Amino acid sequence: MKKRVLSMLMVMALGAGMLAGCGKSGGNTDNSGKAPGSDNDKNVYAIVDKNTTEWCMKDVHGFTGFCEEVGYSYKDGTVAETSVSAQVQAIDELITEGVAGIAINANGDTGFEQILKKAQEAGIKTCSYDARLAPDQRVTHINQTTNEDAGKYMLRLGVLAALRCEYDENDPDMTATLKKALEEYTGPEIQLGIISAGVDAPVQNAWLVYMEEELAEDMYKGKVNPQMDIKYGNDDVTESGNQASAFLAEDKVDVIICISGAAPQACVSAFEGSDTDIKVTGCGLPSWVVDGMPSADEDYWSKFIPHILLWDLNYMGATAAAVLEAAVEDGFDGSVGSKLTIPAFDRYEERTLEVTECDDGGTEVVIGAPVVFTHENVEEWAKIL
Amino acid sequence: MIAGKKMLTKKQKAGRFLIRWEMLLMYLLIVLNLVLLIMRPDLYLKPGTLASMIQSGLNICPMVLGMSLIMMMGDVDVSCTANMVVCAYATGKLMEGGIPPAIAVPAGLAACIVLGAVNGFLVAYMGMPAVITTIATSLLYRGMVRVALGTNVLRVFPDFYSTVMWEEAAGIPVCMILYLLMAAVFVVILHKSRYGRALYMIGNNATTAEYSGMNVRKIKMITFMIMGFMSGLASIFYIGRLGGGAQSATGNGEEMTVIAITALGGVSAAGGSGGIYGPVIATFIMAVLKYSLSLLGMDDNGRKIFIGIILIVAVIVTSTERGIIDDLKENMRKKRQARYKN
Repeated sequence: MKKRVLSMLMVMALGAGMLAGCGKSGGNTDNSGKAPGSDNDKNVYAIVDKNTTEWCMKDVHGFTGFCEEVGYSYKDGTVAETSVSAQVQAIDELITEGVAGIAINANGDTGFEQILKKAQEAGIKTCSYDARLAPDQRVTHINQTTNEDAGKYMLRLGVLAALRCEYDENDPDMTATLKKALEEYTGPEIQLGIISAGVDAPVQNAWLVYMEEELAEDMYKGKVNPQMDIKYGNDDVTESGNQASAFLAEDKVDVIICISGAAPQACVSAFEGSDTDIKVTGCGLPSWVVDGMPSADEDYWSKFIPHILLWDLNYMGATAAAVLEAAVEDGFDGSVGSKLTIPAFDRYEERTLEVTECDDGGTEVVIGAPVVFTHENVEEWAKIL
Repeated sequence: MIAGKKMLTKKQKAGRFLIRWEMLLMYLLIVLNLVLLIMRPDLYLKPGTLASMIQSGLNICPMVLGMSLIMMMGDVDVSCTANMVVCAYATGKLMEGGIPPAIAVPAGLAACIVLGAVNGFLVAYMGMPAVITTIATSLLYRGMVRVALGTNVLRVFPDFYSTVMWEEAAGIPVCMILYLLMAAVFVVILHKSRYGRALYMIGNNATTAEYSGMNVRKIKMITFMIMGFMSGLASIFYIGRLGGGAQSATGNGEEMTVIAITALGGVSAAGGSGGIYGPVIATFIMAVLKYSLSLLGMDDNGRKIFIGIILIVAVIVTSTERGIIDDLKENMRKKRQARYKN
């Protein structure tokens, strides 16, 4: 009896300590200071990201940082568990709390029909960013870059790495450099490996479609195998690390293109100490991959990640907040051709973006082309992202 | 012992009833509601809040009932959500092919019963440990759906799926009415049938049950088939909550919530004790707890920790042969005896 009571008390004490520590970290923080549903409140805008990993929290910090700076009230409903079900529950809670708008980075492309219908019936504006919702479920979608650019840029970076061609910032879309290098290339067919998120990750699957489309271009024929070796790491560092180790053990690919946030970090761990010729590229947080990339005074090819790209996650979160405010306060409807002004904040200047048509029949706001990191700028960007 | 029971006064009986595990859960449920009512009256009294809380937590409820029977035997079924996805796949795929719901839904349920029978056969007739078996079949079943479905999404499901999880009848969520009806059936099965009594006996001591003439293997097999059927029914609730869409990863990890609710409901992980009332109340507790902690400003990770603590306490109380409540009862009895002697 005493032992059981003692063990229960210990568990409760441990838990109390942990809860005290986690109350303000990650999700569900808010700065409104009042019940969001009450009449006297300012509008409260909420964000629901995929999970609480550092990658997703960059979006969230962009959203909350922007809200704080321009004086909006916000609530963070980011889920700890990467699932649609958890996001549905989080959105349901936010509806009950009476928020004015919700920005969602969806964990899947289905499952939100009923909950977003409920949100719309309650007069709540919803938008999506990064991973999109269906057109009728959002005011508009905020895309870091078009899926086409993201997919094709990553593929080109991969082929460049396999050909040992440096990224030339004077040829930002890499087509001219690649064409020339592929014409000169006489070796065996280049084999590309991919580490994606989950099999049902909508963003990654959209990128893969464009990567396959790019590979169908004439310049790759006979030079790059159109059949990519795709492995799924569920956007989890351990699982992605297992897939990276599998690529190493199989030794069949020339380059691994990481198209999920956790994958490059997993490769950094898996490749450490290895003398493999396989190169790694794709998209990744500079702060996560800086150890796998050469520094400014080192040779471009001295480490296994020669170049990698990403977009400004902070700015994407901020844009989501600006869309919600504009939709609630200014009647912004996200129609094609309408303009969205994002006020100046932090290190960013005021910017106006135009809404364009999205390939799913809805509309989107595209922030811009991705940023490519090489040994020349990665250390500087690692301080920001 | 029987004579002792007969000697209990009405007051003593009431006292015992009031400290039953199910009653403690009821107190906890009431306290949770009171806390939210006091801390956030604006939200608690807002129309629809209670219904939203209940609906949010009932998407896995049929599996809780099935798991209660499994755990009562001292076993566990980790493959329940994988089984649920197989049902969703079978139903969704058939409906995509133009098969009417009247055939597609029973076909999905039948597939789940078959998969439950596979689990039951491996555990009961091959003598494999239930945990290992169902981990393996979980990988197998979900893997099959992954291969078959790939990156595709099934979007054609009967309309009544969404009705179950999102509509109300006379102000009561439809899913709650259905859950209570299912629970009533399970109460009858568990407490009024030979099968139910056999489950308790197997959970307490399977060898003794075998020697007393029970067909333990057959009962285990039937129980895993019931679990399969309940996983199939859960797919209606789960897919309905998601508005009628299923992917291969749907419900991944929810089996832990199912097991946690069942344990919180007082079904001992060692088997042989527990009931249906406890898991039913625990389902509502988990729904209210998760929802209200969020409304009180706790983040998602914090909620997991909090719920984890509650579960550990529940398991400590219920997993030993005689829990703390029994010890308290025993102490009270000894004190009464001592007072009587004095």
